[in-house]
Amino acid sequence: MDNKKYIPGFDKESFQVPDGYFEQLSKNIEQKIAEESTPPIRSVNKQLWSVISIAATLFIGFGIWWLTPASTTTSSASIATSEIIESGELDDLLLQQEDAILALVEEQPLLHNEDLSFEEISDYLIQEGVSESDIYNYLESY
Amino acid sequence: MIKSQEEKELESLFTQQKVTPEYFSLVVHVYKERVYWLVRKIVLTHEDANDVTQEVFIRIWEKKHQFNGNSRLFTWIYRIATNMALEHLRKNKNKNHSSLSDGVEDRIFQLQADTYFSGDDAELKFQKALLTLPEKQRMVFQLKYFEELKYEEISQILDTSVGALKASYHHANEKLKAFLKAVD
Repeated sequence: MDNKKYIPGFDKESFQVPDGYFEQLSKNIEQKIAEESTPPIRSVNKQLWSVISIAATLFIGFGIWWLTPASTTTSSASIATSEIIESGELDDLLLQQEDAILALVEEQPLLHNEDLSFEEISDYLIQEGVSESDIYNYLESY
Repeated sequence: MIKSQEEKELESLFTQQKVTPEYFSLVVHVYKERVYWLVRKIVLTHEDANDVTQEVFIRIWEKKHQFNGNSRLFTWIYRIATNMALEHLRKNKNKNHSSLSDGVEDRIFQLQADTYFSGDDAELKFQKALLTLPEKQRMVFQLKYFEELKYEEISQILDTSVGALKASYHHANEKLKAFLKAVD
């Protein structure tokens, strides 16, 4: 069956295009392809600004760290500690610390006073939350 | 459709993934008119056909690495063009959905309003008859009748068996005859 005998068909005279349309169509497509092939300037700028911002932040952060005296002291202290441990001076330091504590204890009249009675000591300990049974057990051990 | 030397060379560039923007200009040059008229027959108005045709070539550029040479380049391009034109119609139908006219009257109205359409009553009647066909039958009819493609080629474009295409074409013929007889 030949349809063309009874169907008018798609007539290009009925369906037209503007003058020079196909030449312009090629240009439009090629332009869009070129845009697709190269990243937009805007995103390049955005990336560039991100890199600059990160670099600037790092630079400022490093500058602050470098110029702050506290950070320098900490750094020196940590180096000094490691040197002390390595040279065996730590024991001397601990002994000095112990002497300082003993000196402090001697300054406390309550702990140093040998004239305190058992009742006074016992009352003090109870006030500090120590139970009577614990005090009794402690005395029993002597 | 006979394969030209130009098409052979383009197919070779696609399969070897050597399609640069410069070579792609040749693709546009060779296929632009065929793609435009294929799309125009589906979407009908020049404005829509222009938009869709440009989108089709952008899509071909983006998917160029997916052409594996299992089909001919023109059937691969026609397949993209057909799918995008139908997709465009579906989007427009959803946008301007009218349950009473089912979109046919709207599209005929748009066609009449198109500056680049000057068809007579017979042409309008024929286009209206085509629009009443189910989408698949319409596509088979258009590719067979207007493009004069072989069933094997249409089979690759629409991803449908040759037997089913022959049946669709027969049904489309019968419906068109009946429709045109009824409106005469």
